[in-house]
Amino acid sequence: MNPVRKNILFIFFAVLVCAKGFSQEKLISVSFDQSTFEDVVKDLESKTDFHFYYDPIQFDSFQVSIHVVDKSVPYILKQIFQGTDYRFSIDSHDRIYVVKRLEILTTLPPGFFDKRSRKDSLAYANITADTSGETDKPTNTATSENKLYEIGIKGLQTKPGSAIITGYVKDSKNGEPIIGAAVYVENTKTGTVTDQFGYFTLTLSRGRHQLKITSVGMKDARRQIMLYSDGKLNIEMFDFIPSLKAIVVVAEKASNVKGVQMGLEKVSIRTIKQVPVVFGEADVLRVVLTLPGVTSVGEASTGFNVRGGAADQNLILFNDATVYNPSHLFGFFSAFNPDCVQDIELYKSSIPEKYGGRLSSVLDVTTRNGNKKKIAGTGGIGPLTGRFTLEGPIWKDRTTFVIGARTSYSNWILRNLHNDEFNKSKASFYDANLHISHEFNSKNNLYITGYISKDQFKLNSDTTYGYSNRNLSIKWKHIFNSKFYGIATTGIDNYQYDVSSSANPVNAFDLKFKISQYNARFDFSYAASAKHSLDFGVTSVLYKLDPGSLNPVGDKSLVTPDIVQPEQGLETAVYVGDKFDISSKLSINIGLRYSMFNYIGPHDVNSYAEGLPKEESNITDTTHYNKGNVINTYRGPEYRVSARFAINDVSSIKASYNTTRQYIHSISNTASISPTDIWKLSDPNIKPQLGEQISLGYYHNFRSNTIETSVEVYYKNIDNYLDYKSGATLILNHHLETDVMNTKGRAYGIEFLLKRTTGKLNGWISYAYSRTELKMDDPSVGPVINHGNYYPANYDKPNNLNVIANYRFTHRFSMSMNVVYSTGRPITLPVAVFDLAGAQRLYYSDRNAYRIPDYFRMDFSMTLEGNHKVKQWLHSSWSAGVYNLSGRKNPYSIYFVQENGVIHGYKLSIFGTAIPFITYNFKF
Amino acid sequence: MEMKMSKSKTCKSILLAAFILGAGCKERYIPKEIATNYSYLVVDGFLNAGNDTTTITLTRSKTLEDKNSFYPELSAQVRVEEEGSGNMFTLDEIGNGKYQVPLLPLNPSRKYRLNIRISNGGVYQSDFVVVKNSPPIDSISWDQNEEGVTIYANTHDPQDSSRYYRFEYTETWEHHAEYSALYDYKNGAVVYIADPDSNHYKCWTTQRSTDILLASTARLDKDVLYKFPLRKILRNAEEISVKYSTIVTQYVLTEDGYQYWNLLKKNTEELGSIFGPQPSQQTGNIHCISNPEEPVMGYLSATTGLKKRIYINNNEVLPWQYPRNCQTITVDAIPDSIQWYFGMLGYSPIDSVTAPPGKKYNASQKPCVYCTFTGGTTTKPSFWP
Repeated sequence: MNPVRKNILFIFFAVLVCAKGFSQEKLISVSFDQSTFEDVVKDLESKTDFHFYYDPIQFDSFQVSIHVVDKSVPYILKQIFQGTDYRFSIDSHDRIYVVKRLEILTTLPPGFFDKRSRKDSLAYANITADTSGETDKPTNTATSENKLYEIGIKGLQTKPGSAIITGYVKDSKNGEPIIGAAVYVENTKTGTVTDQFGYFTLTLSRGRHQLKITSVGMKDARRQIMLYSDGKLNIEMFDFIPSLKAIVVVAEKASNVKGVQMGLEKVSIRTIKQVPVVFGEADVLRVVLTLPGVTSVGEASTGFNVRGGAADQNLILFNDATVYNPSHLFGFFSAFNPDCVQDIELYKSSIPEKYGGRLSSVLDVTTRNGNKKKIAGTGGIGPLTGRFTLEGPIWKDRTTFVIGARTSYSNWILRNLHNDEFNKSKASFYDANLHISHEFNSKNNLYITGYISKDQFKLNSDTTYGYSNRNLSIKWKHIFNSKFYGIATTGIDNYQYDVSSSANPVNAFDLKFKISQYNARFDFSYAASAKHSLDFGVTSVLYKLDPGSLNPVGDKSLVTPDIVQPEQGLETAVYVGDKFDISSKLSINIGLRYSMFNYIGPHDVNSYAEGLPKEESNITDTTHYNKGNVINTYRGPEYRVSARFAINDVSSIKASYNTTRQYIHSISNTASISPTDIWKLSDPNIKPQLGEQISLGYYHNFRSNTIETSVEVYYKNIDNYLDYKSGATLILNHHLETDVMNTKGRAYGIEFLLKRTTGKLNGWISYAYSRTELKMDDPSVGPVINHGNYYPANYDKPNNLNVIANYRFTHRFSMSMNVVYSTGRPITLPVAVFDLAGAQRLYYSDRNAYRIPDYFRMDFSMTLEGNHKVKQWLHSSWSAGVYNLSGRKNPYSIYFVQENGVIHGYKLSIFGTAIPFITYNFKF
Repeated sequence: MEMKMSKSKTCKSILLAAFILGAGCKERYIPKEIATNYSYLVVDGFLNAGNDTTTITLTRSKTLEDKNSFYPELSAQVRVEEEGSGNMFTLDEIGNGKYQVPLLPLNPSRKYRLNIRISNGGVYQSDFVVVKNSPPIDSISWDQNEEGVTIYANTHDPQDSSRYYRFEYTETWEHHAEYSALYDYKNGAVVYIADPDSNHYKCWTTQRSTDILLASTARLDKDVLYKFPLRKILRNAEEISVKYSTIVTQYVLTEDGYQYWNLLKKNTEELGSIFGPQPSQQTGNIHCISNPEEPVMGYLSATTGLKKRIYINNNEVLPWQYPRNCQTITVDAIPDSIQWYFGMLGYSPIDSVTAPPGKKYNASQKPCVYCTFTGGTTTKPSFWP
């Protein structure tokens, strides 16, 4: 009998018993609250003579809540299965069969005959797994879970050895790629994670496998495959729309234990949107700040510090475009429109070899690709800003777009406040994103991302500040074959600021700063064998800086035009990395990056007398270099090594060693990123910064990977970190090397993370103990700081605790809370008062010898969503909450000023009270 | 030209969010940690290259908590040394930590330094400093808008060599009580004031500038300083309620001296705004020879301190009304009433009326009768017209 016929017969049998079934009228009482079906079965079997036959896998995400008194079993089952796809039937021998909607498959999985007599043979029946009773899905996708996909060219006999499957994982609803989905074979350690295009490459032994595909927020998917040779498999995943009858959130995320990558923090936009923020708008960078090992300098700054690195040591990528200033409105908003963001990844210890150029971390922000099936929109209205995003197909199934814009209406609010001080102030911003993706064919894809932002403010003074980011990146992905694909990326990133004042006609000025970078890179990925997968590529960045130009404004202005000579530099790197699975327990990632930096003319370069501090008086010579001349070159290898040893299914140990080099520096004498920070390229007088980090971690998951825990320790050395000399002038400095100094830095710490990803109560608790210290002990550079001893960096905050908790009461109503505690950051305090020139003056302590009071904040928010009907044109939600619930006056800074000849100390808090907010969000 | 953010006046102006929600906050705060007494030598003053006295004041620094305002360094030897020739000029101690010499014959082509030996044997020395002659102040001008009066310095150096300026001013203003009294309450009795000029009706308050006023023309084509703001007087303030005068002193600094004062200004006056710089340790050009680790406060310059005075009359700025809330009461000229109102409640007699049933004093609150209540003295300064 051929397998197909056998199958049909089986179905026929099932239908037959259905028709013959009758009910037994014994009355029982049951009471279940979110119990598994298994529990229900046990209970019913114990109370009656019935025996249940069902496939447990089909019910793994099915939960039952029912309370009945004195009812028959058929009645109870009807209640339970009403509105679902499950069907049950009872035969004359008190056997109850529970199955899902039946369908016919064209192939029968191998091994069927051996197992047909067993209960679990139902797993091979043509049953779909569709728990979402209210969704309306085409049946062809519904079948895919149990259909056997034949991959490759079928031989007469399955050859031994391995083959490669590649493909895309996409969202069935809108066709968007799903990034970071885990594709793996259960019970073995073989698996991979989809890349930024939703693409995966997986090497498996030839033969039959059951693939499991999981991603947060999506329903788990399974594929039965028969692998003959290399081939393709595209997988569509369904949005997880929990049915109202049974609440389940299943996300089997084991990647923190299984991935080789360490110190990787990944947060999806769904999680970001749950965290309460000050003005009610989801904020990417605020969430980054709650991750272990990430701290910020102060309340109103989105510059962040990763494991003791400075704010300029983070590479912030927005679809591969470098964003120089990631904040709006003094840091109250981050530069990324939450509606356009898909997810963020923060690499803080083992930075993949493809990234370079910054010392501490890489924050990779990925945008969504846009709905492939229909035009859709999202938006929101908050107390200070409004935003709107539109997305959809341009050419069906080929080209999609996402366009988003955000603007503030704070100027309008300021104008309407009846206060002179406010009326004279201005503060506004806008940003816009455009992302287009186009699929030429199955082998070629094109992605274009554009970003523009502008901020402008004036604080009760005559001086207007403005800054702007502009980015464009174009990516082309080509799949050569199932083992090999490449991506070519090119783009332009631009950041500029502008300070101007025209109040005094004689001094009216306009100060500008601009940095542009032109990027080109080729990245390749090659799945060499089941054990090796290679990444390699070449990247190049051309920097062009206009480090400052001052120009007079108007005829009366006596301001001398002052232009700091522009500078150019070329950073080139080649890299190769190999992920090597030595055994199912041990995997290593070995990466090598070799980077080179050329400082390029035209430029005049000062030489300083050797052994003497770099001061104007010690300039011995100034050399002019012509356009295009290479003035000097720095080069060196960067090692990226990490290893993972799996102790068992739920725990692993990882270690990594990383070195990094940075050729562009931001120089600031304020603690946070400020719009007027100077960026400076390495030149003959300013050496590149070098970083070295070693880290070790232990990861353990509990309760089928729903609770993740980890401990990581690290030690870091930083060479040539730039700190400013006392009293440095940074703006319009023609010889910046005379006002900055190279310091040595060291950072070490331990980080703990406890995370619950699913369930009514989810969130995380992170704690980090970390120190960052700098040292300047070379008198030939300038006056030594703190007698040449190590001193704490501005952002050295030893204790950090973050708690983020969400509780979902019902599908429509949830509450979130976050708690932040950290040690106060170091400050330099005045230790003595003296009289000079008619007033009291201050003499300050050693640099950063004291600390401001500790920081503590608690925020609360709740979200009420509209009804959950899948088909309605507008979905809306309200979120409301309170920022800084306890109203604690957290000091942003402590400072001392002389007022009428007497020294007064002040504590400045930015949010000195609880701030309520409400935001309306919508989606169609 | 200065490019800085305006110093925030209240917490509300710090940030936009604070604007809207009134949430930002600035509070008085003194950290407990600062307890150690750092007593360092402070050298205040400059070598006067003009035809005027050179005064160097030596004091000690103190803790922030210390309310005792002054620790003079007494019995020190202070001498000015000329580079090359080794000529020494001794400054004589005149008390209170002040050391003076009436005229220093400074040669503009030479450099000078200060040598100090204090009573405990500590030896201090400044670097050699160049003599910077100051061009005369062109004018001290002022203008008025809704907010009040702003006083400016205007100066220029035809040689384009001064470039770095520091200003100080000493302002004096005449102010009057609301009522000119014929009587005073003294030792439990009302007495008639015989001399009408001694009735504490007219006062003169003098005060020195406290802010460090620095200007640089280094970025300008020409060494022209135009309308450099020295002082803002808020509208209707007491300063110009009658007559106001200020004498401005202009010092020319070296670039290094400018950096010192600028850092001192940043360290004491400009901290605390969101983009404000971090405070930093600073060293001047005076060093402790006997203990090189010991910091010395102050910076020595040699310059002419050229002065210019202006006057502003109340009638030039009208309307200008110094607000007072004064009312008169009448007090019966009987001991009980006098004791009660003048002794206990702090009223002051103004004049008297005699009408049935007897003599009464017109009286008002003390601030309305005593001009000294808001500061100043009743002694007219010698220069006052």
